[in-house]
Amino acid sequence: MVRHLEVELDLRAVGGSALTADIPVPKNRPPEELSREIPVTYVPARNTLFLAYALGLAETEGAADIFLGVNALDYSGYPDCRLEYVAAFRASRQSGDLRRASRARRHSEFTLR
Amino acid sequence: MAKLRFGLVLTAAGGVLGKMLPPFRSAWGKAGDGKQYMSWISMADLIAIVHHVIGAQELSGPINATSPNPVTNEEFTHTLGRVLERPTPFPVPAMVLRAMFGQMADGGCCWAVHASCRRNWNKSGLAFDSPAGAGIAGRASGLRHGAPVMTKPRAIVLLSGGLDSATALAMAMAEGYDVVALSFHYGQRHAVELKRRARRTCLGCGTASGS
Repeated sequence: MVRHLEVELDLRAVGGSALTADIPVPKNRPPEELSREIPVTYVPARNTLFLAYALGLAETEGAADIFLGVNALDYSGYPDCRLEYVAAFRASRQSGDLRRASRARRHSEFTLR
Repeated sequence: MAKLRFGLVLTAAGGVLGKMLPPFRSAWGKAGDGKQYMSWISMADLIAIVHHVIGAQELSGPINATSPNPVTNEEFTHTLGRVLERPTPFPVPAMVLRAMFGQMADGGCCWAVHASCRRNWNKSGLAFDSPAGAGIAGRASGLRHGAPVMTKPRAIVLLSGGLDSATALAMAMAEGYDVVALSFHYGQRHAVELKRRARRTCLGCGTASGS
C-alpha cells in the first residue's frame, strides 16, 4: 500500500439513484429479484467517473493496472459492472493513454452471498 | 537455525544505492574491471524472505538472501546509468571503492552461490517479486525524477468501503502491487461506509487516508 486518496464528487447533481436522490433504499431483497432488473441503487455514470479518475491517477502514479471490484451478482443488474463495460473501458484506456499501452484488470472471481 | 546472508539491498531510502548514486551523478562508471558479480536484493524481497524464513521450518544453515538473477557490476552500472540517463564511461578506481564501501569493495561484493539459493527458495515455496532482467531497471526507474524507487508494480484500486473493493485491494496486495487506493465522496447516502470501513481497511493495510 502506498496511500489512500479520497476525492470529492457530487453525483447528487445527476440523481436518479436511491443512493444519491430521495428514493428509498430497498433492503433484504431475495437474490432472484436482485438479478431481474437494474436496481434503484444503480448510480448513473458512477463507475465511468471512478474509472476515469483512476485512469488519470494511473498515469500520474505510473500504475499499469487498475483494480475494480465488481462481483458476479452485480454483473447481472448493474450495467457498468458487466464484462462488456469493463472491456470497453479498457479499450478506451488503450487509445486514450498515449504514454503506454496499458491493461485494466477486472477481478470478478468472487461473489456475494 | 537459518542464517541469512544479505545481498546488496536496493532501496531509494538509502543503503547501497545512496552510496552508489553520487559517482553515477558525476558520470563515473563500473567499479574496478566490472566483471565481479553483484548479488542484489530489493528491500521488498528481502522483507519477504525474512518473513518467509521465520515461518519455514525446513530451512536451516546459511541462506543467501539475494535475487535469483545476479548481474555483473558492469551490467548493473550500465543499467543504472541508462535509467539515470547518465553515461558511465569511467571506471571507479578500486581505491576509491574501498574508501566508499569499506571491506565490501574487496571481493566481498561477490556472493555467487545462486544455484543453491534458487533451489532452496523454490523448494520452500518462495516466489520472488522481481522478475529476472526487468528487476534493476524497473526498481531504479523511479530515481530519475527523485521519486522513491519502485520495487513493485503499482496499481490503482478503487475502494468504496464495501466488500468487493476490499477484496480487490487484498488481491492487489497479495499479487505484490504497491497500491494507491482511491475513494470517492460523491454525495452518497451511505458515506459512513467510506468514512468508517474504507479508512479502516487502509489502516489495516498500513496506510493513512487523505484527500
